Amino acid sequence: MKRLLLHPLMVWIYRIVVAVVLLYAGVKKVWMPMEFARLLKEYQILPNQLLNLVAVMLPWIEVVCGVCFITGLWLRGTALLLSGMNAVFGIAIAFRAWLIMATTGIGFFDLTFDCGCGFGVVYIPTKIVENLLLVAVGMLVLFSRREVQDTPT
Amino acid sequence: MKKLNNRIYKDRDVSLASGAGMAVLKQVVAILIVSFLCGLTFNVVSPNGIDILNNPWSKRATRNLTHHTEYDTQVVEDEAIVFIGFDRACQFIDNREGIILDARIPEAYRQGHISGAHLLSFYEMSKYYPKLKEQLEVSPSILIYCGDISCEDSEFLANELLYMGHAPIFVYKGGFEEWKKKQMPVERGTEEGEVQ
Repeated sequence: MKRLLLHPLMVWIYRIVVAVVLLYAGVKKVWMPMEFARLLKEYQILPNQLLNLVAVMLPWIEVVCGVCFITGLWLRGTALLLSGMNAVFGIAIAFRAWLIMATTGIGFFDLTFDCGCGFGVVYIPTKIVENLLLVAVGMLVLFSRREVQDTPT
Repeated sequence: MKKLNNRIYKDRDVSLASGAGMAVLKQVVAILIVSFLCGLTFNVVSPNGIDILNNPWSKRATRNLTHHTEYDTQVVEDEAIVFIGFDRACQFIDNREGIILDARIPEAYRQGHISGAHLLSFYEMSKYYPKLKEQLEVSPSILIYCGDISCEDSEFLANELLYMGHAPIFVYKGGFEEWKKKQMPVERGTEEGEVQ
């Protein structure tokens, strides 16, 4: 199973799929920084002073990561960044979901909102699973390269 | 001898692992620097570029912002801003109590808005406010909404309008998402109010 998951062809497929998702989401947000800043504000995590800077930066991190995943440049760094960002983003979504549930009484499995991911209003339980998958893919790419590079010769 | 070999391999693994770790961290820093430079450059040349240091969520717009929980059962008074639920919003619209304002961005407004609502995007107040100034001055009251219950733009806009001397203001917290879910009449159209 481990061999199959870490097979170079499988890793290449993960990279391409994730790169397409990252490029789509990143490019969409690059064009609407103010709207993205507004969505970031709704998470109530960042101070107001940082919202615009993060709204300008974050989409470009996605775009650069997407390009790196396709070209293979800085691959392990990209994989680590992807896992880290998605882990933090997953926690942020869960926190916002909890805030909405506490305020409105809406159940977790009925929860939908625009998470600022670039895909509009999404079903939150699915979104959290997607984020966990992206964390897992990042780790797979990270460790698949590590096995190749760090094996003593 | 076997112990010595094991020790050598173990030390080599640790050294390789820490070296590899540093390399990965350097890559992460490189990606962040490239992204930062791309972001700043693009923001300068883009027509949609924004001021990195200042945003519309000024101290004035966000002052006294409180979180309310029971919109449908309890009307919450906050100075001249009144937070209302779906039933009261329907009543406001049916009785034509005043002007209805959509605080969202123009694109969201064009995709759909409450019938009869005017666009006054909180993010482009300088563009839309002059067009509605006269109507706002003669309107006995104002109803403002934005996207959904987690959206705060309607409250920010209410604070700004209150500061400009417009009152009373009703903020419909359920917003357009709740309105749509309740299958109430919506319109698609341009920001000038021309229905498509």
